[in-house]
Amino acid sequence: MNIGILYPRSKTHSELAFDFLDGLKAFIKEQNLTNEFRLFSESVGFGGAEKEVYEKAEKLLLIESVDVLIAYIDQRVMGILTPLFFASGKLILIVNPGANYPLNWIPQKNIVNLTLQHAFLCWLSGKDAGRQTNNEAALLTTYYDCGYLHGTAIIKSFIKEKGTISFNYVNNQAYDENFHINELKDFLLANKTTTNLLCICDSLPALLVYQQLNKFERATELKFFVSPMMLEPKAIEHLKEGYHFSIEGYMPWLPVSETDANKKFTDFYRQHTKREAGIFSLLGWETGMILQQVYNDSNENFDDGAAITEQLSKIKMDSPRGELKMDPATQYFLAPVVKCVVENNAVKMKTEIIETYEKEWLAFTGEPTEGIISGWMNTYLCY
Amino acid sequence: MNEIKIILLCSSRFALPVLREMIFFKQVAVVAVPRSSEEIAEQLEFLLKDAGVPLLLVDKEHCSEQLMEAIQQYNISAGLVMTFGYKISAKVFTMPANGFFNVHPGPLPSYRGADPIFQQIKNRELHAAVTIHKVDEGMDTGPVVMQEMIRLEKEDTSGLLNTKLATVAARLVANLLKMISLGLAVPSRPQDLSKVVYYKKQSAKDIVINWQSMDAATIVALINACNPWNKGAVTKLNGNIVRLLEAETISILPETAKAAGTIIAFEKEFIIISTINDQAIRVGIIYIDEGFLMAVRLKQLGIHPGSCFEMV
Repeated sequence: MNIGILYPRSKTHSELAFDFLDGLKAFIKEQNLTNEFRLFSESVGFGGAEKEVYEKAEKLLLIESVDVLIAYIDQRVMGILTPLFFASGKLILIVNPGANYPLNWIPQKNIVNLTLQHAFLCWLSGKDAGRQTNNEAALLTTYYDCGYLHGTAIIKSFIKEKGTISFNYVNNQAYDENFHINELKDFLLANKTTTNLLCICDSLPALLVYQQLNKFERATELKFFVSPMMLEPKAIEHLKEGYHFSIEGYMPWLPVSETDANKKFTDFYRQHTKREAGIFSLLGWETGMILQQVYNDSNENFDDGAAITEQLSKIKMDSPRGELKMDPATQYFLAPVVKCVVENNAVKMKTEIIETYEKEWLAFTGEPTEGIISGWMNTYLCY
Repeated sequence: MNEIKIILLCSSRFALPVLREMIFFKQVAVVAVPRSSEEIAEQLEFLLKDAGVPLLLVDKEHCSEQLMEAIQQYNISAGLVMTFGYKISAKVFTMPANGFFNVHPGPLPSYRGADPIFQQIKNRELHAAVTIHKVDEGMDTGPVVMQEMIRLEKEDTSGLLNTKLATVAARLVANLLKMISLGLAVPSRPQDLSKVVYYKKQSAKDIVINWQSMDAATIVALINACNPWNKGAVTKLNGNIVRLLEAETISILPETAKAAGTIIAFEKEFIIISTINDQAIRVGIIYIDEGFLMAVRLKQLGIHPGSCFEMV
């Protein structure tokens, strides 16, 4: 099977492309599929230059005649790629963190999506925040983070639970020693009823925000409801010293999960790459799992992507995240989510794998998308 | 990005969101409308005057000549068709470098024909679609460039669905024009001929309620499909034509059911009408010679429970 891969790069997450491709290669090796799978790859940079992305995709589909195309790209560049994907008829697997989502959830029949479910996890966080007794919150995000629809997701579910946003704060500082969030601190000092913070930040600004607010005089009163990247190891590296505030949120995957599938992934990845597995290698590994299903079920007839999609919708896979299955209505692969809680002054994060997420997924994907627009063309975390 | 100049051919408000978007991005060079489509021509005149875009009124007998002249005069890069009344000849659609694209408010190839919005609602589809295809010599036969589906809600009328699909069309056309302006060849896929269904323009019999054969959901779908363009689905009461404009299916107790078409009750502003299979519909708005009225006002015209609607 010839597999085309459009992979991105990122300045802030320089490991992204390596981890993703290594995750995929590790799975192929672990399953002894090296002779069956041929990989053709093209870099698409940050994924925001539409013409470049289109030409690379076209090259893989038309010149290399790949059987399946894996495209690590975002919803925003899908617009001009859709005719190409439609004309090819091949199975297209879109991979990304899931910080954006489509404005129309009804999919093209040969396109499936594998994500880290970031917007959905933000939706869950916003809902939890809205259910607090005091459901007033300040929104904190950054210039880079606020251009994706995970912000819409957290706000929509929060408001749906009758939450009120008392302050919108978009930080545009450089992430260096001069970073500050003084405007937010001033607001919190003047508005004592606001104790909850809805936060959407990548791991580096998250670390800086936590540092700033840990020293803040109202720190013990504050409760963060955060996006997934704010729970990544890079973000909470000072947790071992204890934070004065509390943090709640959801992660797509529990790295220390003791399931056989997770241990196989983390152990083999470590052995294969001499690095620890992370969220991007997880995406690569799961991409491999899906490709294996395609290979096993398609009888070497890869021309009908719609038929392959139909097959995939009937399959449940044992992923490091838990049961990975496709929602046939949206053609998104879904997996259990991990609820994370850091209590005031705790030095460890409590985690719980939530298997029953379907009802919320339906609510999330059933939410009207009129009037929503995402600002950035590139893929989230690729900047 | 290259500058693009589009000629838009249209005869209904389905084109308005696309046109507004193209005006904003200065992509439309001229809009052509059949001279007979006075209502849309009037609507467009104001919009185009402000934007400084010329409106070309096209006569059926000189259609090709007028369009070719406009394509040459405005140095057109591509043509867009959105429910245009006349057939486009090959000498016209091959003239611009990027050809012509038809924006069809239905899925292709399963909804070819003049009014797919009416047909999709009448057929109680779960999804409706917009399809963009390359224009060729046939009617809705060209290879498909893109297609997007949306949910068709039970309460969607022709007018509402038109608006929803027009919004989707604006997004799809924006992507199509972006491809053209980036100098990309627009890929397409031939239509699957095994799935072709062609619908003729609906005739008088297609908009009439047959109380003896249609169940409640079918009647409501027909009513929605006829709203607003036909002022509702057609039926007859006491020898007079009545058009039902808004209705929904309701559950009734089997013992309250009457012969299909019979008014069971007047309830607030609604009338409840029995249908086959012991079902019923609740009708809110009707159109009669006296005007658009709440259905309950039939009482004032001497209609009582037990009166029966008939097929025209």
